[in-house]
Amino acid sequence: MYLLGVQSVPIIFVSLGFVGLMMILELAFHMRLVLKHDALVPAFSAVLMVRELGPVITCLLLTSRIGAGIAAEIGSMKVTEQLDALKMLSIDFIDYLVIPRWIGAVFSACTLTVLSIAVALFGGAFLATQKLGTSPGEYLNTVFFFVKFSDVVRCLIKAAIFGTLIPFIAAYQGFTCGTGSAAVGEAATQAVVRTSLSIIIADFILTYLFYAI
Amino acid sequence: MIVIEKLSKSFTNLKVLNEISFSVPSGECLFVLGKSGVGKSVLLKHIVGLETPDSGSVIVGNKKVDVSDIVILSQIRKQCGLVFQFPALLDSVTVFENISFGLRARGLLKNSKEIEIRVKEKLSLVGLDESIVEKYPSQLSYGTQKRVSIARTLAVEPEYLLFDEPTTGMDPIATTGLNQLIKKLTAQLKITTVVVSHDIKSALAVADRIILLENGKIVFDGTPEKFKSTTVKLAQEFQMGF
Ligand SMILES: Nc1ncnc2c1ncn2[C@@H]1O[C@H](COP(=O)(O)OP(=O)(O)O)[C@@H](O)[C@H]1O
Ligand SMILES: [Mg+2]
Repeated sequence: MYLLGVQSVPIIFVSLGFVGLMMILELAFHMRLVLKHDALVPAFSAVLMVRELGPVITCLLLTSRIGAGIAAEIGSMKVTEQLDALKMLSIDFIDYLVIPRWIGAVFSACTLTVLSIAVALFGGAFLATQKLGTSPGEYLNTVFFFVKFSDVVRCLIKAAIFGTLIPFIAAYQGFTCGTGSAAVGEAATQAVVRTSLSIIIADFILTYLFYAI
Repeated sequence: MIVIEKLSKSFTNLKVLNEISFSVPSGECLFVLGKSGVGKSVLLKHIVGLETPDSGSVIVGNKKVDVSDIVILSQIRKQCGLVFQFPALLDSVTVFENISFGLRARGLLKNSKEIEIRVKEKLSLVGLDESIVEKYPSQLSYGTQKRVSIARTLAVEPEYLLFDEPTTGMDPIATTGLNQLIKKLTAQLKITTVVVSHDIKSALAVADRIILLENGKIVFDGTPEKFKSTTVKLAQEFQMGF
C-alpha cells in the first residue's frame, strides 16, 4: 500500500508543479485585465492551491492509481474465489483487506497533498520571480500572510476524507464485481469514475462547510 | 449427513438448479457429475452458504444453512472444508501462511510449534515437500497450487469435505494421487465427501455413489456399478468420452 502511494509521487509532482505554473500565468492575466495590478497573484494562487487544488488534484490522481488498483485487486480476488476462500476460513475481509488499504490511502493522500502543494508553490515562486518581477522572499511572505494555519488544517481534513473515499468506493466496486475477467476491468473503471465524482462533490460540500458558513 | 431439499436457484433468466433433492449420509463419498456450466459449483456453494437459495433448503449435520444467521453459518463453515475450483490461494502471503491462516483465524491451534507440525503433516498428505512453505503462490505451478489449497482445507480438519473439480488441470499422476487421498480420507477418517466434477474416470474409481445433473435436474442417482449399465443418455455419453 505504501508502495502504491510512493509510486504515485512522480506523476503527482509533475502535475501539481505545472498546475502551479499555470495558475500564476492565468491569475496574472486576469488580474492585469481587471485590476491592472498583479501584486496579489502569488497570494491568491497559494490560497487556491491549499484550499482546493492541492488536495483535489492530488487525490484525483491517486484515485486513478490506487483506486483502480484496489478495485482490480479485490475484483480479481472475487473472480478467482479468494474472497469465498476467506469467508470459508472465517476471516473478516473488511479487517483483512479494507482497513490496511484505508490506512495506506489516508496516509498517502495527506503526505502527497502536502508535498505536492510545496512543489506547486515552488513552481509558482519560480515563475513569479521570472515573470512578475517579485523576489522569492516577497513571494513567500505574501503566501504566508494569506494562507492561514486553519487553511492547512482544513486542507489536511479534505485530504483525509478523500483518502477515505478512495479505498472504500474501490473496495465496494471490487466486492460487487461480476464474474469473468472483463468484470474486473469494469470494476476498476467504475471505481475511478465514482470516486472522482465523489471527491469533487465532497470537495464542494467541505468548502461550503468550511468557508461559506 | 447433508440433506438438500427442493433446492432452486436462478441467475437473472437462467434457471440453474430446479428443485434438486438428495442427501449424503455420513461417511459417504458422493460424486456430482455434469457438463460445464450445469451448476455444480453453485450447488456446492449452497452447502456452505456462499450462495443463497431462491427456494428449498440445505441441512448440514443438524443445522439448517441460513445466510442470515451468522452464528450457525460460521459453525457450519467450520465443519465444512471447501476446496475451490481455482486454487484461490492468497497471493500476498506464503504457502505456510496460506495453510495456517484458517487455524489462526479460528483459534484452533495457538502454539506455533503445533501449527508448524500441522502444516507439514497436511503438506505431506497431499504429496508436497515441506521445502515449499516459504514460497509464494505465484512461484508454484497450477497443480502444486491446487494441492496447497487442498492442504489448506485439510488443515482445519473438517467433518465434511467438498471438492470443486479437484482434478481439473492436474496431470494424470497427480490425479491418481488425489483420488487415493480422497479414498483414504473417507475410509480412514469417516469424512463425508462431496466431489463435483466432470471427471468420470475419477468418479468411477473413488465414488460410493454418483449423481448426474442435467438442465437443473438430477437425471441419475446410484452406485458406480449402476452408472456403467444405466440407459440414461447423458451417462452413456459421459462414459463414451473415455
Ligand atoms: N454469481 C453468478 N451470477 C450470474 N450467473 C452465475 C453466477 N454464478 C454462476 N452463474 C451461472 O450459473 C451457471 C452454472 O455455473 P457453475 O455452477 O459455475 O457451473 P459448473 O457446473 O461448471 O460449476 C453458469 O451458466 C454460470 O454462468
Ligand atoms: Mg464449476
